[in-house]
Amino acid sequence: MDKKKGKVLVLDDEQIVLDSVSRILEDENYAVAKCQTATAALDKLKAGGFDMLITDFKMPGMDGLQAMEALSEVDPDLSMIMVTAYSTVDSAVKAMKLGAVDYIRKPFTPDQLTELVDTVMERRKSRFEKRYREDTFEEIKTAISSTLNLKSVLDLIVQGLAKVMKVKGSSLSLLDKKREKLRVFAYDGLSRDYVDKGPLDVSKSISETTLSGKEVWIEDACKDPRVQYPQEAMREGVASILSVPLVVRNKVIGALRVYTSEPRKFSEEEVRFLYGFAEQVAYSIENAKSYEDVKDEYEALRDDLWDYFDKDGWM
Amino acid sequence: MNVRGKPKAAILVIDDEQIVHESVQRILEEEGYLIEGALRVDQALEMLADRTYDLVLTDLMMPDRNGMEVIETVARDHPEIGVVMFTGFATVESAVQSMKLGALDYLPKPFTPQELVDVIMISLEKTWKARRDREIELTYAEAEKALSASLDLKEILNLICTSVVRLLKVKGAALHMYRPKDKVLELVSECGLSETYVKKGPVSGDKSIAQVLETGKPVLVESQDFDTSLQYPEEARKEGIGSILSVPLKLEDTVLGFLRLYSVAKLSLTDEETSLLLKFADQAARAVENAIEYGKVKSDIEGMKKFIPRPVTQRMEEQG
Repeated sequence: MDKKKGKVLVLDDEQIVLDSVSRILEDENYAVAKCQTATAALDKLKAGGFDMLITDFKMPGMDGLQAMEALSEVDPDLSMIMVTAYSTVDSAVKAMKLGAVDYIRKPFTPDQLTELVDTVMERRKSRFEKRYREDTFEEIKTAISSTLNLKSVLDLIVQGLAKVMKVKGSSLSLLDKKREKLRVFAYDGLSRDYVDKGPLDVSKSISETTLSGKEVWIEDACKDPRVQYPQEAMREGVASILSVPLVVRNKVIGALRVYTSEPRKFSEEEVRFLYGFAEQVAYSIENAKSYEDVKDEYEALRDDLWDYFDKDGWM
Repeated sequence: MNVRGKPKAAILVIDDEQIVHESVQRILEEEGYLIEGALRVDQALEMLADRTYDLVLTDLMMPDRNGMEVIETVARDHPEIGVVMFTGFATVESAVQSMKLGALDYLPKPFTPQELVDVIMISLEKTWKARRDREIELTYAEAEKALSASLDLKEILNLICTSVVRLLKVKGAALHMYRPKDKVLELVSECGLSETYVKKGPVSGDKSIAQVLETGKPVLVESQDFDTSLQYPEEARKEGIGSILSVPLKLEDTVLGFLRLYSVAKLSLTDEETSLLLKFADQAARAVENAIEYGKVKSDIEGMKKFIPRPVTQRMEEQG
């Protein structure tokens, strides 16, 4: 059987409503649990995670508003919809203030219900995606700031990026000293052949746009004329590419790219996130580079000192 | 404006009826709010762009445009301002719609003066809370960025104190680095404290610091416990300090130092503020560690240069 679209808890004192709501939603591939009292709903919620609550307003014992209050205390992330035959402005405002995502009137058509539940599930999904990104980014930041080793920093960035964006692969390229070529310094989820396919010429459009400080989105890497190596992308199974610049103190130092295996769009929120990610890691790269530079200086000086004391090379 | 001085908040009232303005203004000015009015939506939107308000109270049905538009504009362009909808044509649909768009409340007309005052008060509290949350989030993001953008130890140590003062709005902060072998604490940066207090004398690893070391967790000392828990209780009182929170800067289990927060009143942090503070201390510890590491190599270079006769040093600098 298909994976369920979500788990819905339905609370209503009338069995007939419970049956019809659950039939409608089960047909749409939702898992539904039915409860006739708020107490029963509380027990069910405590026992297993639900995505959504659909509750009646007027019920004997705890009413819908009280039930929402109690249930959201158990799970503050529960998405709640109030359904009522006795709708009033007062109860609607109260329900919305308690955190209901919607308030609808009985009777409703099956289409109205499924459309509403689908929309709520979609919004819920993107909210969780956002939270996942924020939490994962925190972990990545902590890991990156725990080292000054350039190679480790770059590897942590690309691994973190692929994980946080849930994509096939990622790469990090830095500009050479003349600012003409972007060279890949770290990658994750891509084959060596693909990464080594050739230098990226900054005069070509993707890199050019990146270097001007803007993002580039390629929906289909095999067909897009801006892609320098479409054949290689096809062989690698790369569909969409999103590239953002790495900027330190208003100067572009390189680019971060994510690669997907299916053609896809990126939401505004995802693009914004990627910019924030790039901004933060750009400083870590700079710090690690500075550290590498002083290390090199130290070693060169040590060798010089060695040469000075051992001019004839006896040691 | 009321006679008691500064207004409690600035509220923009939008309604096409002059009589509504008059009564709302009378009720709310009595409560100490500053009230400005607009009879049309376009006029209101101009006022919102020009001036700062804490709350907008808008009618729903107006001849030129709809109150929903006001909610949408405020939510999009002025998220720091709260909106309350009030209407003589209250319906369930418009109530639900208003709240979905971001209104804090929905008040059907007519209402009693007390109902209006209550709704305004609760909505203002929500607005201020949201504002404070957003501000703390922004301040934290800035502080974190600043910390990760530097490898200069002195700059980082200063940033830690100034950022934490801004973040939690405390009187002052001080950072002591800790040397475990002889339990010596060295003051490396401070802000918001008087010179007399800063130079009161060396701080030892006893008293509250010992407690932080033992538990690895922040320790709060309030004024009534100053005599038993502080090394310099008299000086703290003279400085006007009401409580001191000591937070360890740790890397894994190694304590690098202590960040102390001084507040005038008793410091009470929400759970979110506490977790933010701990997150900040963690980031700060890593930034300090990295800067020390970088500084070590730098000073090794300086040390080595002393052993090199001039010509070689010069050559190095030329290559530089």
